[in-house]
Amino acid sequence: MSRSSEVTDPAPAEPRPPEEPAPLLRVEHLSIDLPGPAGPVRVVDDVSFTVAAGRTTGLIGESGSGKTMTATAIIGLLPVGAAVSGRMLWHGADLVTMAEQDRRRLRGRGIAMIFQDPQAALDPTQTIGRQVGEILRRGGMPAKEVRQTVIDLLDRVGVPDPETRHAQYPHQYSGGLRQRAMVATALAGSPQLILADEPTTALDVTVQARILALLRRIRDEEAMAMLLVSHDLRVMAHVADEVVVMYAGRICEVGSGREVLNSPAHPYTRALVVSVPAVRSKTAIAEPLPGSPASPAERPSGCPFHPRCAKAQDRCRSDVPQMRQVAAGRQVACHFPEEM
Amino acid sequence: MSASALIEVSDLVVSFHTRRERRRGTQPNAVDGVSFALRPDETLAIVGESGSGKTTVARCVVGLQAHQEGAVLFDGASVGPVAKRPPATRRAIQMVFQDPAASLNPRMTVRSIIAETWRTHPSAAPDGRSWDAAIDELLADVGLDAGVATRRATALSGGQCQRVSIARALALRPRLLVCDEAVSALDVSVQSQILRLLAGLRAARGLAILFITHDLGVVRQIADRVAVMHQGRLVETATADDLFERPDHPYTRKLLDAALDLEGA
Repeated sequence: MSRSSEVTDPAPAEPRPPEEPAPLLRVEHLSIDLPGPAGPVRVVDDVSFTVAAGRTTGLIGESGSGKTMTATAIIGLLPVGAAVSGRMLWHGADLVTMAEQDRRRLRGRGIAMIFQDPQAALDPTQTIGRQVGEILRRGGMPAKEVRQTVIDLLDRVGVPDPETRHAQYPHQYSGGLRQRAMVATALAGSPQLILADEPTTALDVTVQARILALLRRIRDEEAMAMLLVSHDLRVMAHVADEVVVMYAGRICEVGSGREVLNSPAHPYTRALVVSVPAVRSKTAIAEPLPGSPASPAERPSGCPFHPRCAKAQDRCRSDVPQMRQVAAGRQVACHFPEEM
Repeated sequence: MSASALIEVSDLVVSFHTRRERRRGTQPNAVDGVSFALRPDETLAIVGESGSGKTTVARCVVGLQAHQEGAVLFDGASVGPVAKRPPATRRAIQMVFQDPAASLNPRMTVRSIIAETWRTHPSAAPDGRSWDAAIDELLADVGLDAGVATRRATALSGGQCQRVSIARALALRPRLLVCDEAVSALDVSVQSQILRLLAGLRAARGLAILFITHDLGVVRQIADRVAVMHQGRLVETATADDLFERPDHPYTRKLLDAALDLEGA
């Protein structure tokens, strides 16, 4: 942690309500435009949320919701030509305007990322140990020390026999072990925030449960903040302290994971929740929403969800609903939210 | 059971190793002695983790994969790889793949994708009326409007592509639909549309469905019976109610325990 102190040192704290955990990252009015064949497409539109230290914040959304783009903007890996507005405050410094050189120093050290497909994210021609230790080596750590640190890291994430396995290549690892190696790679820079994009989607259920337990343990032991991006509400229910539900590039609902998933206030969140089939009880196939998730390129007027919403009225077709508080810690962008 | 079975798979063995490796017996078989039967109006789900052999079994049933030992019986007659099957058998068993975009030719319109099946199987082609009208009707059956017929797969959403895949399969009036992870790649809010569609088609047309998936929640919603595969073998086959309420095999219990639910998190 000390190696990166020059970029992660907290700025003078701003006054904030004492009951809320201090936000590590504050995303304010973030909008992202990507170039498209018919002009720029606003893939993320006026998104605001916070990620607090020691908490897991879940970004929920389907395809085209902008959840992955939001995470990509935070880590600073947006495609060339992306136009970003708004602010992303990291210890008081704005990631949007930060010099690329500083961002690079922050990447992996202050903020690290775990990708969905470890097979694609790991280099097949380099040993696992070399990849886990890359950031340490680049930081100038002596080779011997790197080796020991890597072995400790692999041990911490549950790779068996790390003394031998750090010298193996990704193809010698199973899918679950590869994802553990990815987690070790993320941990190597002692980040304060880990972004995890669908970290268990490519894994089998039995492996998924173990990776989720690992992520929870890391959050608790290291007081690390995590931004978990997923379409899987079951994963969110098990890991996320707070959730942010996105649709067509906008936020529909924010609140504690338990409350949002138990009693959704936004009709879209409700539809998502009822469409998750249960394993421990028999459920009927949910009444499906009509149509497909709205594409940001053809975002419907007013509330982007209105063409699929059973409660939609005239107002929903014309006015964009603003985020408003419906209960303590619960915000919803809907003209007619469920009563809380 | 076997007398009324539409498909009967017995002692199926598939290995992806060379003959010499197989003789040495050191390499595990991808499918290792799998037997099950499927009734004409039944939905059987095969569940298991990656590498369990569930997709290989499905491919053997469709004929996309040759097996080394055992037999696949369709209507009591042994069937091999698809190229060696009589046309009527080929027509009767159709498959819906996981990735809806990848399983449709991006250069063909939806209309020509469906018409192609009739050129391959003239016996299934609509007689006495125009193909276009028959295609519109098929599209309506899977919940698509006729306007989709002139579009290409690249212009369709994932859910629409999967509906086209199902329409293409239905065009040949199959008796068995093999769905390999057919809803796994779809958005949650679209999954239930396709599951409803499959359940409705099954009831309306008396289709048998072999449903390959890793999603136990979906299985509980649509399957009559469930077969659990682990390392190439069937470890348990039971009615869906029995399997979820009273799992017998330790591996089945492990799978059920690991599955996440929204409730009780």
